[in-house]
Amino acid sequence: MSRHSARSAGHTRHHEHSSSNRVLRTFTFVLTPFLISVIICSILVIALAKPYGKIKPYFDMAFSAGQGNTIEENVASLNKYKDDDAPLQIKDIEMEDGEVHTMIYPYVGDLYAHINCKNAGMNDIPVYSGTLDDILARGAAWYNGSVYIGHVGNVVIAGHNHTDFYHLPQCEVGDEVTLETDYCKLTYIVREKVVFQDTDLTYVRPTEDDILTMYTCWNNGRLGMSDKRLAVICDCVSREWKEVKQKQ
Amino acid sequence: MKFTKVLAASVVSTAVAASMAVSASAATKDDAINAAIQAGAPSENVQQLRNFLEDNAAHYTAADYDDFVNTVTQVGQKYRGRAFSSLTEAEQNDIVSTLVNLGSRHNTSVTCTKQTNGHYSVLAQWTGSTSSNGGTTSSAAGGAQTAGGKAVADTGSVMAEESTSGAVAFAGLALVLAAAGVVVVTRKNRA
Repeated sequence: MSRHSARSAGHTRHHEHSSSNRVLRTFTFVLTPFLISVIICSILVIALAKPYGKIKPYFDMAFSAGQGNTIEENVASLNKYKDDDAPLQIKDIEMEDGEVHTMIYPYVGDLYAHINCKNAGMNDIPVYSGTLDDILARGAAWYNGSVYIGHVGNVVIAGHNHTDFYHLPQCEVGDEVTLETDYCKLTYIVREKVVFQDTDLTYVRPTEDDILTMYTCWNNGRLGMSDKRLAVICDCVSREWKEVKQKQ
Repeated sequence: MKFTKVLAASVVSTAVAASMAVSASAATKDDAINAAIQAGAPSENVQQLRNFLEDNAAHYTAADYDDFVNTVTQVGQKYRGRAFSSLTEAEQNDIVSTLVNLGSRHNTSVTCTKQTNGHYSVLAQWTGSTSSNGGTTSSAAGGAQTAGGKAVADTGSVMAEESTSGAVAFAGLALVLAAAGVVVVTRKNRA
């Protein structure tokens, strides 16, 4: 009797042990491939993080193309640096040649001008006022440590190399560049291209020469941040003043 | 080093443009600009000052310009020859607060914001009121502003280091947990 009981107890324990083993094996069967997949994916992410960082500017450029004027106009109306009802800053000013012309002074963040250089494929590039980071993210930016557009001197405009100034390196000596605001239109001819260190302020400083300096990051032809800048320096050949109808 | 000089000069120039006040002589806009030059402001910052005054000069009186000249001259004499980065935080704050106060004395808002890259963006805006031809007073929306910042801007795409660093950290954690899970499961099976 006791032998039978012992045998039964043994069978029961063996049955229970088999059941738990089955559960564990099922669990292992399902879980292990998942864990291995996680391991493989993690290794891939870690290995590809750096190369992705290098090609991300190209992705950004490819998938941000064609946004066009709609966003530009919407952004212009969302200038966080001024009130929506801020009046136009229109003023008659005596220029360097003694003539009086009407200028519209931009607020920081305002859409200020457009650049065209057809030979380089730069068409209607928007230029905003101020070179703060968030402004540069919207378009090219006029550096307000340079003269207002229309004045004689060095007009300095910066732009990102993966967006608005992507085609800037394709400007060649002799190309025509136009810079147009609501109050004037200037025509320039490219004179030279210079690569300089970002700590060198020579090309962004005011000058007596009537020039336009456009610059962007220079990474030896690749996109991305760099401590070098490519400047395209242009001589002004003509200046046309427009009639500004709305005045304060 | 240079950006700190730019900062100092930018802040000086902007605040100079922003606030003008009284002294013994009747100063003018050109005096204000010359004061910034004499104080050692870099030419690009002086240009920012010129730009600001080109549209806002009429808002300030000779007395305003005098105060501006005096204040900028004092700041220039106090810190001339010293790079902004070599100044203590207290001295840097002293410059910033002097210029902000200068602006506040003359209806001008001067805001200095330290950027993550260590540079300062300086935004100056006239905040006074104007009178219409009929004599009634109306608030102006502030007049054209000027903003100083890094002279040579960063114009390249960020290499996505910030966006991928989080993914890398998460992937690393997942790798560790998954490896631990495999070890645990293996030991359970052996047991």
